[in-house]
This record gives sequence, C-alpha cells and structure tokens, in this order.
Amino acid sequence: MTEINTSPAKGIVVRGRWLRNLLTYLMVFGPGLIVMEADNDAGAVSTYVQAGAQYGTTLLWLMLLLLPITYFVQEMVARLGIATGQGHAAMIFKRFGRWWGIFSLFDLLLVNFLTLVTEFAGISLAFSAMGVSPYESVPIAAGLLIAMVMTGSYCRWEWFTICLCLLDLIWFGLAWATQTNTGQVIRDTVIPQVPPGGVTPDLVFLVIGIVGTTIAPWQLFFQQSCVADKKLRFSDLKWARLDTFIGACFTVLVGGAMMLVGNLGFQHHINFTDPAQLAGALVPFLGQGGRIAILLLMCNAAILGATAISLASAWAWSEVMGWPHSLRRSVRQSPGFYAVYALCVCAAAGLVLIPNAPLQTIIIGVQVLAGVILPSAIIFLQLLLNDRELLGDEFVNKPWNNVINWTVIVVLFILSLILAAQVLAPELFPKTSS
Amino acid sequence: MAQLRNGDNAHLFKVVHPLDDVERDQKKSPENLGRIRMTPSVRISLAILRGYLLIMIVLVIYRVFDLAGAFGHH
Repeated sequence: MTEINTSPAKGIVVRGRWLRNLLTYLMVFGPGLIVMEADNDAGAVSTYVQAGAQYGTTLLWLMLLLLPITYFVQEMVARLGIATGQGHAAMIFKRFGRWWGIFSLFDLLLVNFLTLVTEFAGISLAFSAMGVSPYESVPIAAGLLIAMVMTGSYCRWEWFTICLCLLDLIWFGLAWATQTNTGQVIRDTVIPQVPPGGVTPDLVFLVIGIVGTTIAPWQLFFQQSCVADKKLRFSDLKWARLDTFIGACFTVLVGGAMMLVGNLGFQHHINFTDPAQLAGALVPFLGQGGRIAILLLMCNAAILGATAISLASAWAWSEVMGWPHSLRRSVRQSPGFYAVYALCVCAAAGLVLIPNAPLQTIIIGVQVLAGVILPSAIIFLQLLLNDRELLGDEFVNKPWNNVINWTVIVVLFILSLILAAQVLAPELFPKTSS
Repeated sequence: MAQLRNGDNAHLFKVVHPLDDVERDQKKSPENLGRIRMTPSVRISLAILRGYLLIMIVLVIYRVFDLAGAFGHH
C-alpha cells in the first residue's frame, strides 16, 4: 500500500468515498452544532417559552424564517475561520485598527459577562425550584464549567459539549407530550401570520427578542475561534457548512419545541413569570417527570451557554493579547487563556450569589449592549468576507452572498435600534397592553 | 484527508482528523497586509456604523437625563 499524498499523520483507512465522506464529516462536526445549540441558552428558553405562552403556535413561522438567516451569518464565520486560521477579534484588530479592535473587544467582553450572569441566574432559579439552594447549585455549576475546559484536550471538551447539546433532544419528547395538533403546528410553521390581537408593541418586542436570542454577538467570535482552534482545513469547508446547517436546523427545531411547551401554558391560561414557575404549573399535564425535565433542561441550556460565552471571551482576549489560546494546551501552557475563562465564570457566579443583585438592570444592559455590538460585529464580518486582498477569490463572498447578508444586516440594524430605543426611551412608544 | 491509490487499494482512503493532520494549509494571513483598503463600501459601512453608535450614545444619554428627572416626567 503506497501513499501518494504522503502523510505520517495518524488516520483511519476506509474503503469507498461514501465512508470517507461520512468519517470526514464526523471529524469536522462540532463547532457548528455547539455554537447553534449553545445559543438556546437560559435567556432563549425564557423567550421561546414566553412566546408560546403568549401567542400559542402562531409565531412558529418566525423560527423557519430565522433558519436561513442564522445559517448564512454563521457560514461566513466558519469560512473566515477556516481561511485565516485566526479568531474574529484578532482579525478586526489587524484589518480595522486599534480603535475598532478595542471597541469590539470591550463591548464583547461586557455583554458576554452580563449574559453570563443571566445564565447563572437561570441555574439558580431552576435549582431553587427543585429545592436546592443557590449557594450550592451555583458554585457547583461554576466548578463544572471550569473543569470541562481544563482537560488540555480540545476533543474531550468538544465531545462533552456535544453530549450536552444532544440532551436538548428531550425538548422534542416534551413537545410531543403536549399533544399539540400536528396539522396546526405545520400550518403555523410554514404560513406567516400575525397573532390574534394584531401588531402590538408587546408582539414587536417579543419578535425582536426572538431574533436577538437566535443571533447573538458572541456566536460570531466563538465559532471563528473554535474553527481555528480545531485547525479545520480548506478541504473541510463543505463539511463545516453542513455542520453549521445541521446545527441551525437543530437549534431552530429545539426552539420550536420550547414554544410548544409554552403553548401548553397558553392553552390552559397559565400565568407565570419564568420557565421554572411554568414547569411547576404544567405538572397536571406533563407529570412530575416533565417538571424535572424542564428544570434540568434549563440548567443544561445555561451551562451550554455559559461555556460557549466564556470561551468566546477567553479566546477573543487572548488572541488580542497574543497569549497562547487553545483548548489543546494545558493550563500551564496557556495560563492567561484559562485565567480569563475562570475569571468570567467565577465573577458571574459570585454576582448572582450577592443578595438583591440588580439582575433586572443586568438583563436590560444585555439587551442594550447586544443591540450595539451585534450590528457592528456583523458589519465587520461582512467587510472581512469582502476583503479580496485577504481572502482571495476562493473564500471571498459571492454577489448573492452579499445581497442576502446586507439585507440581514439592515434588518438587524433596524430591530436593534427599535429594541434599544424601547429599553432606553420607553415613553417614545405606545403603552403596551399589559 | 488523503487518498491511497495503488492497485487493489484504488478505493482505500485515509481520513485524518484535522488536529492530527501534519499537512497544514497555507492560511490567508493578514500579518503583512496592514489595514483594510478603504474602498467606498468600506468607508460607507464604517460611516453608517459610527452614525448608528452615535444614535445609541444619544439614547443612553437621554435615558440617564430622564432617570435624573431632567425632563420633568416624574
């Protein structure tokens, strides 16, 4: 057996193209699924369940609409990561200069930290509903989050995180248990409609919340750094695209399943302020098992979100500082990278444990800052993907890419501005019905 | 990802994990390129971004003054 493309690397010999393609895909698979599913974090659970509880299944079409949008944005990130082998923060610094670099980095770190606080608030809430004190659940969750990245192996972290992502399959079981009419679900998914009651400020801001929850700034930074850390090759691009597409489909389906669980509250006119309360109220319909499942899935969502967000911060900071920044390195080899990660986790966990912490202000801060950073991060991404000098003809955006992406950017700018204006100057808007 | 070609092994393929692959791509590096070229689209995009950030800052300042009771709503 003679190798033409001589490679002393480890590898697996398989017979046939089909098996080769399958195995290559499985080896490349990971970053796309993780970035998408980690976006179904504690805040997303709350938003999707609330959407179902307020409007039933009438907003399911929005999830279908968000599928191509989230895919196209993340595909650009994967392409840029594979082409350059570098993270997003480093790329902004190098191509747009120090001012934009520092602006993007600090904005990202701040919004990530505040989002991280909401993840721990979700963990605290869910475990409190199960009778576990936040002073036990939050430190344990923080310890788990730190332990899962510090193994010195990218693959160990990736497989553990993929397992957490796959736990979200349980949402489909819960959605099935709600016994929602299948025909109604399909109809409301494929036919866009305005819910009964018309376009109200409540509806507009919920729609913006759903869009903001599905496309988050940290995702751009996370996936590019993750792809670079995994050392994906040019030839892996098509498999990275498939990974991203499957991740997008999975996350949208899980989001839809969360809406169906919320819809059960809508059907039975259950009032609630958070998903943990709803889980308790749904016991007559889903049983105690359903209640525990929803609470544990809330924790799982928060853990997934927290690891991805903290890693996005640690990668971005370390790239800009020029520190070693890889999950393949041990703590001793990348002390700064792991220190940033651990600092983010510990500070956010500590803040949640402070009695009467201003969580409401933090949630508002997340909305406003996300409104600032998402459009700017996407603008930089779009400009980088049109940087022919950097990427050459092979990786640069095609004209049809640009038409879609500029449309997405304009819509995101408008939605972000409306959300920020509503949060910062609510009196400029008509009073809500509630 | 490498292909093995020789006689009976015509359909054998060696699949290598990206982290184990010693054949590295020549990545597109920005190191020697400096700043991005200021084409009209780059200039317009950054101008729009600055305008957008300015609006956001005005909104934040408005909120701060509003909370301080400067507009007499409270």
